[in-house]
Amino acid sequence: MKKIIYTRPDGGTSVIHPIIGSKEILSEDQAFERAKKDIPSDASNVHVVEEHHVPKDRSKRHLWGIEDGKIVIKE
Amino acid sequence: MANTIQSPNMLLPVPTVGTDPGPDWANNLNACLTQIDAHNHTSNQGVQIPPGGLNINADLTFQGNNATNLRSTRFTIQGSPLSTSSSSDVGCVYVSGVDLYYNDVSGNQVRITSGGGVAGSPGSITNLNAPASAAYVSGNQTFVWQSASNTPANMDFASAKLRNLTAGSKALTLSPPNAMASDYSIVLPSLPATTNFMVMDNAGTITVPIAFANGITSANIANGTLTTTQISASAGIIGTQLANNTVSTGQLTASVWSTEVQQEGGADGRVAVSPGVQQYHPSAAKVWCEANYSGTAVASYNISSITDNGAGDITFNFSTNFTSGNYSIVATGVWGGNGIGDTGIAQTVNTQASSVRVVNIRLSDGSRQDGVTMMMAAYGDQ
Repeated sequence: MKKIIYTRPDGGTSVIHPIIGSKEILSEDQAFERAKKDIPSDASNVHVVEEHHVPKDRSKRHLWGIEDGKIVIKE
Repeated sequence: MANTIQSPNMLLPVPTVGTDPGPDWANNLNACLTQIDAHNHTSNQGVQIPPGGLNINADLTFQGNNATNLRSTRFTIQGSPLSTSSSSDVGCVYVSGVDLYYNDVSGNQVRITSGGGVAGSPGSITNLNAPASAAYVSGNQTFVWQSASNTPANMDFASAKLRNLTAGSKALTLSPPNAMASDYSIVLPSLPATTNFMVMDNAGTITVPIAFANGITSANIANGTLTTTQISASAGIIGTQLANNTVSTGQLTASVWSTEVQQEGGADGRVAVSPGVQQYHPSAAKVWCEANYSGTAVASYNISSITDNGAGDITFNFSTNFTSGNYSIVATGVWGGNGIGDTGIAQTVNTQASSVRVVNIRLSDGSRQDGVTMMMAAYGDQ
């Protein structure tokens, strides 16, 4: 499922994971469209990425940033 | 020479003039006068009297004998039917105007002819020959039609008009249905002993199988035909009249179910809570979720998305928002399942109407750390 990434005012990177829900009957596209409302008004650098573009390794989660619409690890 | 000659009509001994001497002459005259005194115009009693010799100026009696050999009887025309108040005018036939009448001995003026025919229906009834008969019985004022002696006859006619046996009565008309496709019969039932309902089968036979006193029972009602229209609003169906497990939600009016407003009020104890509104009660969790830190909701309710803000930092976004940021959060983190072996505490850092942000703080150093999962539930007004 597609994810929404953005930069918070404090400079951190957030990833919105749309949720279909345990009791709801939504398609992935519907869940994604619904999740757009969850983008904060103060978010910047907002992009949509495929799921596999979100790093699985979270050991350096605090180093994530966004460049060219993708998540990067800023060493 | 004889002293008398015999008269031709009465055989009177009439003395011969100049021949019959006295006293024979006087005796013969006396004999003649005696016969004349007793004559009655029968044979040898004088000549018969022709109509011109009669002057009948009063009722003429036949003294109980018949008038025979009449060629016809010609009546003097009366200006109006003769009154029956006079006994001399009952049991008599006469002409009034142009028609023949008979005053019967009961005092009825019976008009026999009218309009050039027999009074009543003109013409005749075809094939009304013995033993068939049609008669009017004045005793019970009934026309009787018979096919034979003491055997009634069928009647074939259109509608029948029934009236009361009173002058000027209105009519009740019995009619067959319009445009019948074929002949058929309707057979009436025998008189029942008590009041019964009547039913008619498809052969036209009417029977009385259902006693009125018993009313219409379920055996006489077709399946699936009763509707609420047939049931009084005050009938008051009670629980014992319902089979177990037969009432479904379709039989319940909407007012038995709690509305969102009633749920939110939380005070009405006489309405049922349905799954669609139970979450509106103040005591119900409006949102709950168990999520891991890679953004997967293990289980959730009313969650539209999870925002991964960093290590041990999750925002839960709601499908349906709270009315404000004032609501209660219960959150906890699951540690150790991944071998971390640490302990920590979940802490809410920001509540908004549309979301809540929760961080997972490791107790040993106060840093935000991922655990296995983060769990939360929120209570408040939506």
